[in-house]
Amino acid sequence: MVATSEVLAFVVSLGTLYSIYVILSSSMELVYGELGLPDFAKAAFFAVGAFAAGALSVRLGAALAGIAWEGEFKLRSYYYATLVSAKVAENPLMGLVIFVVPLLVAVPCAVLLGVLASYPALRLREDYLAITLIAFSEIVRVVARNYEPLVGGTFGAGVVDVFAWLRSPWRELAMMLTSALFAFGAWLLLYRLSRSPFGRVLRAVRDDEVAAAAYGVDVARVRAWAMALGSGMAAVAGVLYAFYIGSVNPDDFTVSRTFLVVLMVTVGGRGNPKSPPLGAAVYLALDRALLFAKRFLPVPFDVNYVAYAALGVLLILFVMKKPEGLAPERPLLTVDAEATEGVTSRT
Amino acid sequence: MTSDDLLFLAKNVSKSFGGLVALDKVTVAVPEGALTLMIGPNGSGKTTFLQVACGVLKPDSGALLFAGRNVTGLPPYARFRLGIVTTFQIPRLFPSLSVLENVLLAAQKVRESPLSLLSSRKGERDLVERAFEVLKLLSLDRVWDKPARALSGGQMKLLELARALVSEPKLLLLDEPLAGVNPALAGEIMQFLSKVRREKGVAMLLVEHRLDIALKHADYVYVLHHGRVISEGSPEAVVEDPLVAKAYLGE
Repeated sequence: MVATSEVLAFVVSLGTLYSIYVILSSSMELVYGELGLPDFAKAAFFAVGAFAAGALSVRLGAALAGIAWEGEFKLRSYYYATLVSAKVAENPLMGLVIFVVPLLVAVPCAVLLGVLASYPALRLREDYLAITLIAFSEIVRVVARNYEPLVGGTFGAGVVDVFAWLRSPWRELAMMLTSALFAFGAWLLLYRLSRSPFGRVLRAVRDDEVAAAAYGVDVARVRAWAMALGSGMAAVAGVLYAFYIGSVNPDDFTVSRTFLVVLMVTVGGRGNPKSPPLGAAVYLALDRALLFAKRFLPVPFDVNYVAYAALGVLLILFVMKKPEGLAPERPLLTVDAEATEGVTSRT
Repeated sequence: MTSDDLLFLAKNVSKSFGGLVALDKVTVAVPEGALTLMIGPNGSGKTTFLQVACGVLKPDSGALLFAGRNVTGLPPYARFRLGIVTTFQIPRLFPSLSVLENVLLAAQKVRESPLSLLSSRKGERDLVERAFEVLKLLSLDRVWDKPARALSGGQMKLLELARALVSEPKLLLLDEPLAGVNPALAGEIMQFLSKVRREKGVAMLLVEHRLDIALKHADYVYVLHHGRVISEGSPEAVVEDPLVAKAYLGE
């Protein structure tokens, strides 16, 4: 029999991960779904957030708590993370500072990188752009993997428990609620944007770039804006993810993470702002189901690959059989119903 | 014509695609409020000229002046904002947007900034009013909420026009607005364009094969052949020009 507290812990943990994926897929929907720019560097912008938390939380915490640092970062970050967390347990304000500073650093960095990454989009066709962005994403990961002072290279980095001042399960619950709050904010931003005149411009560029330019749209600026917003959102998700996991490892941010998010948006329905919450739910449900099921699967290879194979098959099936996704895109209406009613009734 | 009432001037514009010379030192002037017609056999460079004029293509040499300003280096969106608006020969609508949204995109002033999120609902409503006026004129108001991809070929042509008109252009570049449209509707479109020109003083540069319909509305005609202007003048003079007959019919 499973204890109630274990079920609660499972749900809370899943809720946090769900929130993080909603932020990521909202940012993917904005850039890929609405603007049609294959942002296959999403994992890198996600990583920027996580790396900011990994690089800063322990160092900042140690400085704030007056703990003198000894030894190499890669060998000692987990140890100091524990020490700083113990200090945070007595000082919630310190936890808040350690949480907010990586956010304040990561978001502008990701926004800047996003704007930079939007420039190849001017010269490259969609498929070449996708390849370029994948390469960009891998560069970010490989640099972090080899430059140990950043987040400890292959050792990874410990991350401070910013909610250490709460007792379990309140601690986990606080993490979930914080993530959920950010997720709701990110999704609301996406939803409002997609129904604003800006959303109309995004879709126009996606539908026909030349026509959009001929009708007054500065396509380069639209792309820069969308990539700035999308990348900033992904960085927020990355910071939350690092604090949720409690450590950061560069190899956690491979291109396959990008494609999980592409999967969510595709399954949910590209071009429909409902796709992020829907797609993230489908993905997590499936992922957890596979986690349970794979114990019972007699496969002649490492059973962990079953999930990859299944998700790959799902993506292919959707692209072939149901490319519009579970919630198909609808022609958008940026004006409220009364506005059009007034005019149409006179016709 | 004096230079005062000249709205648009393309001077010695050349454009090649590899070895193919599409435009060879073409000079075309469009006076304020005039309907200038450009004709020529298929492949004579008419569409290329319009695309150079609106900025979709860059000329290899030559200069483009609009309202006394050199616009040669300006990208398409900047020329649109000055009032140079083009329609496409094969409609290039935004297929997933509704008919209304297609028109609104051309009418809206805030374009790139997400800050338009905060733009007033009132502003959008005014745009909707204006959009419906134009849609009504072109009998598209009944299909306002349909996605553009669901329209018939003729309706797509009309939506191209609606989009161009709602942006309140100073110079309209029209690339065969009558092609593929039935004769009755083609006549109506031409009447309509003529009316817009009279009432709003919009200058037009019209590329068209349907001379039977278009010629009588034109003030001045240019004839293009192999990327060169081989004849120009009043409609009457141009159709009498033996060079023009030769270009169309051969030796």
